[in-house]
Amino acid sequence: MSQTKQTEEHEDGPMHLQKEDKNEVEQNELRFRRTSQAAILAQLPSRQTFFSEAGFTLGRRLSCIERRKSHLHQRASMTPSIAVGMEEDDDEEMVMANRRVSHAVSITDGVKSITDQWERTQSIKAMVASIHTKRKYSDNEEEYQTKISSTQARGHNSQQRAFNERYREDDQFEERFYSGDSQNSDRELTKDFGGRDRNSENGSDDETFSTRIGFDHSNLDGKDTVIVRKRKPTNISDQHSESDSSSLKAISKSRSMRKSVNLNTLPSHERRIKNFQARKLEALRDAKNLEEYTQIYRDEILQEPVQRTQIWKYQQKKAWQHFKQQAKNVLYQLELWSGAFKEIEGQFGTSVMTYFRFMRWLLFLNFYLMVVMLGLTMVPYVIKINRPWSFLDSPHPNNTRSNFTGDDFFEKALNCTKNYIGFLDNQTNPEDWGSKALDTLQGTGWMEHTVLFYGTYFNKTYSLPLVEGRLTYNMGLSYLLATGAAFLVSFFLLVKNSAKGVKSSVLDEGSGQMTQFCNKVFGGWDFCISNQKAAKEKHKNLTQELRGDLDNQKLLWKIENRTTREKAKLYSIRVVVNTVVLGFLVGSLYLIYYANNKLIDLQREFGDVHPIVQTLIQFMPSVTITLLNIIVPIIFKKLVEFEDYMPAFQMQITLLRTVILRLASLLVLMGSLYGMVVEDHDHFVDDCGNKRWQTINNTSEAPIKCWETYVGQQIYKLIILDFLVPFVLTFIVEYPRRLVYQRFHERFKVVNMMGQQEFDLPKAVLDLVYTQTLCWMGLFFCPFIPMMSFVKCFIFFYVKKGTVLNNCIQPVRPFRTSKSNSLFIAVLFISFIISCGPMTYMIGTISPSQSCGPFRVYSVENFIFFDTIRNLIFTFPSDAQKFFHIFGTMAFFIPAIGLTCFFMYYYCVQAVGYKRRAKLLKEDLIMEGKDKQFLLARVNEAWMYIEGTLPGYPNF
Amino acid sequence: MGNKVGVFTDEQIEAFQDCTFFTKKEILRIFRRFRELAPNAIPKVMSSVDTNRIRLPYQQVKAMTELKENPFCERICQVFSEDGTGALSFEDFLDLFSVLSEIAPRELKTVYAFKIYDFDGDNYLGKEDLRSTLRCLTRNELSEEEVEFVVEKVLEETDLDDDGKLSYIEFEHVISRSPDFMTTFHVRI
Repeated sequence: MSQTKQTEEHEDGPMHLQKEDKNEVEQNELRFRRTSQAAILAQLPSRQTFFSEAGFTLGRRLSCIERRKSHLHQRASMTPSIAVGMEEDDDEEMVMANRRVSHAVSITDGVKSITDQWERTQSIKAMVASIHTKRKYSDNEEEYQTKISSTQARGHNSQQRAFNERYREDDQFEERFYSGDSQNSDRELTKDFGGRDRNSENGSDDETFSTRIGFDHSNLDGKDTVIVRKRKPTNISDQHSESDSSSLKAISKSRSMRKSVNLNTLPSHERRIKNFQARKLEALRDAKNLEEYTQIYRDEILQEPVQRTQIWKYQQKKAWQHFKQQAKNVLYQLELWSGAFKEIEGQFGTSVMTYFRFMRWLLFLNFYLMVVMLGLTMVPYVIKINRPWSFLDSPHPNNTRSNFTGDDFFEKALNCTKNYIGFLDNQTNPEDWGSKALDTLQGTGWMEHTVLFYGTYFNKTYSLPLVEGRLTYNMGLSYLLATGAAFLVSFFLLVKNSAKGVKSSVLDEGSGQMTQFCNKVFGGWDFCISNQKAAKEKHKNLTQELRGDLDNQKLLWKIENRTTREKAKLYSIRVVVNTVVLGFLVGSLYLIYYANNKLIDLQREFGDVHPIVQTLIQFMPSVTITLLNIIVPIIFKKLVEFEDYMPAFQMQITLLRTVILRLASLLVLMGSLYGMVVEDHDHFVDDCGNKRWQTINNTSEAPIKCWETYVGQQIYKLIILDFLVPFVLTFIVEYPRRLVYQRFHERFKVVNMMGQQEFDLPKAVLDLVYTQTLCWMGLFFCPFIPMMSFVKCFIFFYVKKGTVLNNCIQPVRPFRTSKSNSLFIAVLFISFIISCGPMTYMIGTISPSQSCGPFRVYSVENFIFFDTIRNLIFTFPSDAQKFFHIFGTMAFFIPAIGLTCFFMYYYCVQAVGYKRRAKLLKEDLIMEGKDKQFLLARVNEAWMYIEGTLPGYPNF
Repeated sequence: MGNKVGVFTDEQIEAFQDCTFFTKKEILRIFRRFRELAPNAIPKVMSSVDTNRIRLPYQQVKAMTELKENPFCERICQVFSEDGTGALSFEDFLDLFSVLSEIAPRELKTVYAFKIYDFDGDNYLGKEDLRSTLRCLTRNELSEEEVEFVVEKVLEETDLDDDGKLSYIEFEHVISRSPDFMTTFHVRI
């Protein structure tokens, strides 16, 4: 009821009008019928053409739709008839009205669906027709097409208008109905409709035809109505018209309701569909025109003279492209190890290749570091003219122009240096070749004198030969700047490379989960593989990977279905394992610390034993670290299997633990060295910038006379060991293992079980990262270290290549190429930051030795490394001084940090926004895909109608 | 004439250069490789007719080391041969390696990859195509059930319009996101 009222409000005006002028309404009604009939008429021939042209299918479909429509008519007519049947019962009037409303609602839906159906048929028709037009290029067809659309439009409009009017009438009816004068109203209506029917019968033949279609079923309904009403029909025409009227009423009512509900949405929707159809037609027509056009004008287009400048431009472009390609080609051939890459790629695929590529990248990094370090420190030191060979011979600072080296400090440095050199001379016996070799390994003895270590350099401001007396070289400053430059170079190269990695990993992350299988199926096979063995391995690999993924899925399901008990058990196991791992970590770190601290003790205790034993003792901390690095990761690898993680995560966590062990062991080493260098000790005299300058009370520990060199020696030893151990392992373990396997794997089960050496990519990468970390940590104390790592990388490339190609089989679970590279760089970045920390701390807080190194002459009390730079700034003009001074104040740092935070936040927010947008776009894409599918299905249907069968998909 | 070997005229070389991603040197190298496959059937000097007319049957092309181990070798040859039998003329051969070269753009590679994976040639990667691809990849080592599962998964990931097969657009979409495709879909010659 409420709905009817609503509609009443809507149509208040027209209703009023209608009341006044009844005749006009009737005329309107008449006009509507005419126009709608005309519309149907216009469509009839089209239907016939479809029968003839498009085969019977479409016709069948159309008739089916019509049947459905009439079915709805039937249903619609049912409602009022029921109502009328019950109308005598006044008490139930309200109930009935309600029921009627609900019926009407259901009919609304039905009518809506019919209209939709109708529209769809129209669109199909349009499409079929357009395809026809396209196919036959006949103008008649097109004309007809436009006719269809126009009639459609007309029909639609007239229908709406008519429905409005009907609605008014409906209201009138309702009024009467409620006034109780139902008989009267019935009669009146009958008269109305009867008259109209007669009118329609008076029309043309076609008109009658359409009327028949429209009202055939209402005849049947009429009979139904009779049964319901249990009232004997007096007159066929009366009955006919009555049922007719009721059906009309129902439709009009439902229409009006629909209008009230969808008043705004409906027309726009229809318009959209119409627009769409029109656009499509246009496009098709355009395509047709284009085709014709090209057909006609093809020859002309081909013969059209091309401008000379265009030809010239084209040629230039072509030549440039050629040049670029050739240059690329040449560069490619000049590229280091490209042949080796091809070989490795051929046998092991791209994932192993990334390791070698990483190695080559490190090689270049170390090359740059080497150039920077040696170029700024060693080369000027060696080539300087008028050199004093030792600091002791250098002229007194009074003769130089330096303002900051006071007499006292210079004398002090001179004394300390004398003491240190005397101490060194006592320790070494230069005649013995064996001990010389041992010294080489340890970096002690004769080596301590060389340019290899920090201690030898001294700050002598000397004049260059070309600009005599004008230019001076400040070795201390140069040394600091070289270190800074080395770190900056590494930083920029790292950032550049990791940006590349991050880019690909972000891309990966976005779709990694989504296209996991596709990546394997479509990008899985490495087309580079040209070796039978490798191909076999790759096949096996892919199978395993796919199986692994399937297992993953199963594991996921398993995890979902875990019971509480299982969960509790698993978590307790994980807690235990993590505790054990933590224990191992702490234990091994303590071991390193202990070994380092005990070193000096032991040195004293075994002071008289054979030098080889002494060397072994010297190597104790390094050996401990190296051994731990070999053994503990294996234990971690075994332990993680109990934890029942997902395979990918399992690998990551093992890697993480190993990284922690490696870097932490280095940090512990640095920490213990720091303790030795900086803290005060009971048994030592603190002098000359060294806390352990001289022993008192005859303690067992050896003094440290130049702590920078001492630290350098420790790292030097680690590097030597790091170089030798894998080298030895390769030739003593891996090579024989392969031989044993080849000989005996058929005979002995044990050998077969042991299997062949598998290339452990993460471990190999970790080794490289570790070496690089050592290089960063040590380059200040030992400027030759970058060169050593450079050489190491170079030699190791061939060693690793040899062992990979000969001794190893492919890893069972290979890394994904794209992911692994970014992972390597990430790990390297962490190690870079970790090695940066101690270095900056040291330069900013610790005083250098006064007995050695380029900083031995202090300019102030409590001199630190960084004071060198400060002194440099003091020599600048005052404005520049002020400028640099600002950098050191809080007024600069706080806004700078604030600004950085702000930018970081901004980019984070932006990234989140982009992510969301990407998600939306993905959804859009899916929607579009669905749209496309829908349209294709429609076109397909159209084809089916044309051909009568399914001929296959149209070839787009 | 600039070219030492004298296999082709300069015009031919230029045409090849225009149509492929290769330099002159590479084209000649590829020709050498091509001739190695059947020294008797291929003349030392190729006229412009010969490059298109003389065809090597698939069995002979298959002997290339670069292609020998490739599970899609047959499909590749079929896609690139003009008549679809797998017999390759020199032009087809050159085309093949041009598409698989490193400098070829992703779009081109995607088109040919789609053709290669489209075993039945219906312009869609249907389930049967995916199955065949998987069988090629794993040499029949996966069980039917596993293959079926993987196919389902692939379709789940890529089939945007739920029609049970991949159209070219969907394939392109997925390839543009596949990080490994560009690194793996090339042959160095």
